[in-house]
Amino acid sequence: MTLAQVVYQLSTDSEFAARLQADPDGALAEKGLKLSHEEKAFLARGLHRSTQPDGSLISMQEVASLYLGWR
Amino acid sequence: MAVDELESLALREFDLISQTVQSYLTRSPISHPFKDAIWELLARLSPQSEKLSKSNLTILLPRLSYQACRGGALFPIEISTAWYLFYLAADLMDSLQDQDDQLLTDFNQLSSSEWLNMASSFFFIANALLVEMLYQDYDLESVKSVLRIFQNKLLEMCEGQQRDVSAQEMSLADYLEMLRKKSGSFFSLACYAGARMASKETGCVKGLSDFGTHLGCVIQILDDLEDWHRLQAGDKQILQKMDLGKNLATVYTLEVLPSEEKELLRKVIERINRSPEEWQTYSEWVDRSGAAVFILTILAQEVESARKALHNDLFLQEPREALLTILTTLADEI
Repeated sequence: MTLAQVVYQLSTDSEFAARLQADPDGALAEKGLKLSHEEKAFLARGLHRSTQPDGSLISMQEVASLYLGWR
Repeated sequence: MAVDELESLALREFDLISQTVQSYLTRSPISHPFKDAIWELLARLSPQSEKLSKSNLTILLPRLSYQACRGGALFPIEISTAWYLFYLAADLMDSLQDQDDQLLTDFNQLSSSEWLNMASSFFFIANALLVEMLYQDYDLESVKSVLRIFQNKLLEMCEGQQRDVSAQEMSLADYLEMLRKKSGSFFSLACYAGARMASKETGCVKGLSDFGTHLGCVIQILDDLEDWHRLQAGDKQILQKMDLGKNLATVYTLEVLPSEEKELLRKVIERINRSPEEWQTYSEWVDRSGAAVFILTILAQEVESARKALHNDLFLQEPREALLTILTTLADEI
């Protein structure tokens, strides 16, 4: 699943993450990855929600805490 | 529509459902002690006003879907009742399978065999209520279509459950397919059945059915996140009960890691039950791999797809907005 590979790349390679922000299509092409227009929009949303004020990415525990008490 | 209004409507719906079951039990041929046992269990499993949760709002899916498709004044409450009873039956069987200690303690007077029998009873009452609709003053073609979809979607749900319990390790694609089948199908059923009783218009019925599928996927992901929270909080019971390899965060991480790291992570997962301190190694690995970003991206995808499914002028605005409120109440501002 390409979307998962892109998320892995941007989480483990800060240069790729920066390039992805500046030039998404170019950064993806360099890695031989391709996302649909919709997938790029979902990823942008997911990233927006995942990025903390200091630029670091949210942890699983923090995500789990966001949605407590739904049941 | 405001959330507190939806909560009042949901409580009213649970009352109507109780009345419908009671009315069925009154005319059923079973003995009074068994009727009382079913009734008591149903009352204890159903939410009370002070305990209504966000997920309880989904009881309104059939009615709101019916209204969104411009159904008449008389909503067939049998649809919501049957759907809820099927939900309870599945939940009881799930709790038994997972050895849910809380539920087993709450109902410790029941043996496993009695639990299974009660779940079967809910299943047959639900089925009987749907079949009775054939002989009432409803549109026959619509009832037949709803009966068929109940059987098909519930069977799909069983298929999803079978994949979940039988697979050793799942690929990400398999997991996402299981999500659709297991939870997506069930919530799609609630919306389809309500919509179909109101309308034959394909655009209406399909839109609501798709909305239900995506909402169901959101709910299953939230369920996974809840397990994660309990694990992180050191709930050892859940560690023993759940299969870590079937949690979305793990499935994602095993999918994306290079093969040599994948093998190492598998070994850590195998050791967690014996050495809970391995949990820290495991969770740091999952975090480094971006599992949280991936899950929020998938949630964004499901929420947006659910919203898109309701972008249609065919729907009445107020019930459509109420359905969207249920979605955003559950999935926040994704």
